[in-house]
Amino acid sequence: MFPNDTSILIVDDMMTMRKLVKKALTTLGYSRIADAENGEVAFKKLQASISSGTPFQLVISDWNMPVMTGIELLRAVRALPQGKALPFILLTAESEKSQVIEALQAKVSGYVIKPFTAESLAEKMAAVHATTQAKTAAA
Amino acid sequence: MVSPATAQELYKTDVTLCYPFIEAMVNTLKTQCSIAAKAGKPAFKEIQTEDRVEVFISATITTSTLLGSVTICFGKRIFLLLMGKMLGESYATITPELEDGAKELMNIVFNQAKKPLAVKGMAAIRSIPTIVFGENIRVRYLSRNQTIVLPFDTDIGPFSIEITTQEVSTSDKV
Repeated sequence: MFPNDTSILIVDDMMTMRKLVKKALTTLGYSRIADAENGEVAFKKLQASISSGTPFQLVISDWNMPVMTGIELLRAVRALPQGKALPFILLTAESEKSQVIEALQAKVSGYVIKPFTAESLAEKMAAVHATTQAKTAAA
Repeated sequence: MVSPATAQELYKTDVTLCYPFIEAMVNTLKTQCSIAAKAGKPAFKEIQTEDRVEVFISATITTSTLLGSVTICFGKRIFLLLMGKMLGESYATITPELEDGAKELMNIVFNQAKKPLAVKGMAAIRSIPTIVFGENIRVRYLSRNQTIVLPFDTDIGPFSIEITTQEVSTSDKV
């Protein structure tokens, strides 16, 4: 599982959902949490965090957002040298198979369907962390 | 005059639409709000009923053959308690944050209902949700068919979903 000092960026255009995710993460013991209201704002925050030497270590993003969607943000992050292995979880109400495939092709780390609980988010985070660790060890 | 057979067919159509929303609402409240909701017996909405609501969240859904309206109706106290459980805070008044929360609740419920509806051959498109807050609001649907009321009981109090549908006719096309 991600350690409790993991720096996490929540991205969602709905204030309520940002709050819900933050509440779940706080319940799980995380406190280094920032948020952004769309992909564009999130990407700027990610770049700033990299520049400052304290990059975010996990992104949890909504799919459908104005300005820049979650999948567009994911592609932009993966295009960065520092973003290729960044754990990135998409959080969405959409459950169509075509979207899952699109997300996998864009190298998403995990996929959480709304509604979610702190426990289901924790399970996904644990799986993403394990996969990331395995990939890092193999590299 | 609608024949009994046609009326029965319309009733069946409505019920087909209802079950995915019942399941979606119960699951959403359980998962997102830690609220155990029990669905009651669906009933037709009586036009003469003097029921009043204080919060309603409504959206239309459209399939290739059907127009529908889905509305979640709350009393203010229930809505505030539900949002409080969802967001982990206590609310005394309806704030812009709770308007946002109402929209998210509707989004989650609709998106869960969408898949089973598609499986039943009712691939649906939802309109932008409308949220109305007020006092003593009387909600009526200008539908050719009857409205079905889906009552829910929870430990914070009752609320309902109201669903009405009608088949698409040439006069509905704009």
